[in-house]
Amino acid sequence: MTRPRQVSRIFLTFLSAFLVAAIWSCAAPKRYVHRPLIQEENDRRSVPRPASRKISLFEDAVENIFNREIDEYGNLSSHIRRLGNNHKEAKNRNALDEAPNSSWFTNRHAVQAMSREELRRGPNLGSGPDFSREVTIVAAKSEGVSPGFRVRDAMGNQYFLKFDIKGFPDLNTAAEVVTTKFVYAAGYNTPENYIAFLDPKRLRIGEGVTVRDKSGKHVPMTQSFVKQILDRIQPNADGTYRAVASKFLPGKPLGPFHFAGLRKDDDNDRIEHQHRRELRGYKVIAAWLNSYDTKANNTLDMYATEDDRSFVRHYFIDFATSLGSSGNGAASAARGKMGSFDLWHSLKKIVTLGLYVEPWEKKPRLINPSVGYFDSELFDPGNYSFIIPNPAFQRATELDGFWGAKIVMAFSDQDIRDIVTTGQYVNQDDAEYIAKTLIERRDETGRYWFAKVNPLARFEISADAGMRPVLRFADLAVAAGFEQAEQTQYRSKWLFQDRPLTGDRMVAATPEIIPDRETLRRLEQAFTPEMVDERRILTVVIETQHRRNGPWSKAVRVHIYVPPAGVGSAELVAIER
Amino acid sequence: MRRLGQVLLIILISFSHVISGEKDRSDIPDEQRPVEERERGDSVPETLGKVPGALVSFPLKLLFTGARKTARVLDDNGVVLRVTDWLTSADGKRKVRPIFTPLSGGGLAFKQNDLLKPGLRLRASASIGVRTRRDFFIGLRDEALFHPRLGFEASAFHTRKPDEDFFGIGNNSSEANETNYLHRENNVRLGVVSRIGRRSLFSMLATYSDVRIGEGRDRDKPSLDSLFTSQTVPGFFGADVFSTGASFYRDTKDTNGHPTRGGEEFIAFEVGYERGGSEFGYHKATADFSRYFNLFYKRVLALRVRAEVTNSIGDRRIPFFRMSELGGQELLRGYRPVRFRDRDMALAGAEYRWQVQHFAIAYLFVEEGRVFSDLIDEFSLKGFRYSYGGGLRLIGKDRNLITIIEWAKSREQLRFIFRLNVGVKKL
Repeated sequence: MTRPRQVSRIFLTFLSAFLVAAIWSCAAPKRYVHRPLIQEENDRRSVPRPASRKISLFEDAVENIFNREIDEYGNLSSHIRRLGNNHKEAKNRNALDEAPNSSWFTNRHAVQAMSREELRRGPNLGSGPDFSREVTIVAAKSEGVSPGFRVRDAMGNQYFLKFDIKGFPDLNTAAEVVTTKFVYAAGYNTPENYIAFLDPKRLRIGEGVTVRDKSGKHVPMTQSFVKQILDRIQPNADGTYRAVASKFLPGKPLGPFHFAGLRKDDDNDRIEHQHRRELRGYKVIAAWLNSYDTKANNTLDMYATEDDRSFVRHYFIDFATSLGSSGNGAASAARGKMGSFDLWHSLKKIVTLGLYVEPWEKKPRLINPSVGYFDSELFDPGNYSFIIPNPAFQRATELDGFWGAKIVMAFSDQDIRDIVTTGQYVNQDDAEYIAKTLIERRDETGRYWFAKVNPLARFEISADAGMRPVLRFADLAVAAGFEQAEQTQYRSKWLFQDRPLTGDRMVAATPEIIPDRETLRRLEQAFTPEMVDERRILTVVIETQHRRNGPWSKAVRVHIYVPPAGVGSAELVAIER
Repeated sequence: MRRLGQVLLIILISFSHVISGEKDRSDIPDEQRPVEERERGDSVPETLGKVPGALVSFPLKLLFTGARKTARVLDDNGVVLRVTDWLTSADGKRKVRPIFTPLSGGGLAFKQNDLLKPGLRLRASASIGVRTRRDFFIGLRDEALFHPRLGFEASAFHTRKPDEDFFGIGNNSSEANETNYLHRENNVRLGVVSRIGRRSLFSMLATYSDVRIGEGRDRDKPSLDSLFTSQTVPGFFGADVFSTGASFYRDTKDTNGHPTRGGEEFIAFEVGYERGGSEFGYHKATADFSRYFNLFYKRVLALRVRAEVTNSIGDRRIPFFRMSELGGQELLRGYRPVRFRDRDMALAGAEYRWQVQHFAIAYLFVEEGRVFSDLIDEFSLKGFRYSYGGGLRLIGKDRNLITIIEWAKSREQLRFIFRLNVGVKKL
């Protein structure tokens, strides 16, 4: 046999082996048992303090633009998974397909609606910095694109101050505060960010404060350096400067986290970050908020101590590049549509000799100086591009997207308007424009991701007047108004140990499933009193048809624990999409 | 036997998740187990699945891992910051940039605005290349030294080009007559400049040039004196030339980097005499106009025309190195530099430009040009040489040109050109 034939045989052998493995892994259904739902991830145990680290911008970009891309293209199992539409789901989700609370994430508004006051307050615990007396600069701000300082207020609290760029009043500061509130309400850890007004006359350079000079050496900070920074900032008519005061986070800073891999010196960090539900699902939330710069350096790990336990808490910290702001002026209309090194778009333009005009090229550069550029017309939630590829986002599946969309859709029009007011836009029309755009983008987000799966949620089991079990649920697409209730119907099948209890599928016009007489009879036969408690699981398979004569959706499998007669009530065990 | 091995491999991989201890499907699903008890890393089939791709991508990955590690070391040590800080000033007044052209080689260009006093600008560059090519330049300009609208300019320039090509004089000079010579020139210039409005500059400058022509360093080509004589090529040994002239430059481009409207106009007149001799004397008039038209969404058509007319004064001659030239980076790019020489020249070009990334401009161009012994009397559309091509210009944050990668084709050759931080004044 010739060498090329040998090579192709070996390749084919590998390929067939992986196909068999892929089919095998898809074939067997999951057997859920009666277990308490995992609602907390035990990742806040006391651990020794991990080393602080820096992630260079160049390193992060090279790693994400090249190394991980090459790995992904060369990953046979990932291609086979893609072929079989069997993507690797997030590893930390629980049986209800939700992210448990952890050092990364806390279920907030989407699970238990926050009050208007809570939404407006966001992560803020106090009333903000006290700039009524002397404000001491304790360090220069070295990270990020927006100009700023680290200061200590009259109360002795430390804040990072970030300002609006000259010519763009409210833009940076409002975007930072508004996005912080949304991200916090979504469930992530964020700093306390306040809009504050600084009188430059009260600004004093602290003792021993240094900056890096041209040769890279640390030299004392001077008034001329402060003036250089202030010269770039938009002043108010009364001579004060509007700023975002970002309160120093509690604990010891450990540097940013990567969106892939593990922090090896943190024993609590057990799920590779690219496989964490909340990081994958953040893709949807960040896209909604036009927070296109999700590089590692916009995150921070803190070594925090709570209840005598010291562990690592993970934060998103910098939202200056969000809504219509680039952190250094207005965001480009191309942001969200193409990355900073987008080969595909470049090739398309080269090959078509520029005759192909991207839709965003037809847009103005600016809505207005306080809004920057922020739109909903061109927003494509499924194809949103971040400036640097994000490994967690790249692995996000439809389920991760659905999870993120549920969080986005949890914000009502009023919630959005309430949060946008915290940006303290001077011109109310700007606030209204931002809110309106966010509402439209929210609906685009929901419409896109809810169409990717069977959007049934909020399952509840109860009994009707005749004591028959009833499975009620919400159809999120109908609830959001994307589909019409009168056009929608649901069909279900009841399974016990993967076998149908009856041959017929039941069709219901409302989002509730009630077993018929025959199914009830079969249920009683199947669940004998002597059956092991853990295995008393009934599965209801539900498909949805949103338009009469339209296609039926993918199935949602709802796993229910059926207790022995007279012992407790039925419980929801798992939801499989 | 081999077939049996293949079957065993398939079975082994298929069941490896069982072998590796991964939980059987009949056992509790991962989602129901505490997160900290779940499997870490990939299963054996998935790990194996990465092998074929990893083998293919290994060399590339090695390269990029190297780049990543290098980036880390540079960043950890603040090298990038230090070098950037050292080379540039935060206010943009000082900047040092690497430069490269195939003709002059590589080097550094330095600029300092507001040197010693506001408005005084210093420009300097030094580059060296193969066969001891070198270019040194230093220039000072203050456009408001004497009056808000009247300033001065002074510069000195040294170049040594050891392997210049010479094909003879005239539009029909043959490629077969290619010879090689050394061109060395020292040049000092002094004069007054006057800014007229924000966009126009009028200059009156006097220049002294010491030009020496010698034997070329490219041994593969015949030397200049093997085919030509001082009779057929005026200025065969070089000359000291003193010239004075006036020029007017107007720039109405809307922006640098990727202008979409406006244009540039340049008109110059120069009179030159041989210092210490009476052999050479000439006057030269130059006109160069370019215009930018925004066709649609920043797809730009750039048009350019240029003409030069050089005449001798009395019975003096025009040194060949002061004649009009065609060929090279700004003048008929598909031909090698200074492929054609004669007293006069005419050039017309069109370029279509479009932005492919915020930092990259692609372009296609076509241009026609020819040299004449007398443009006015002999002008004809016949005999024009054309070249065409395309390329990519990379521009920096300050909208200045960083890099040109270009392909240019002519009847004689296909040229690939790479230039770094050397701006194109015209098309």
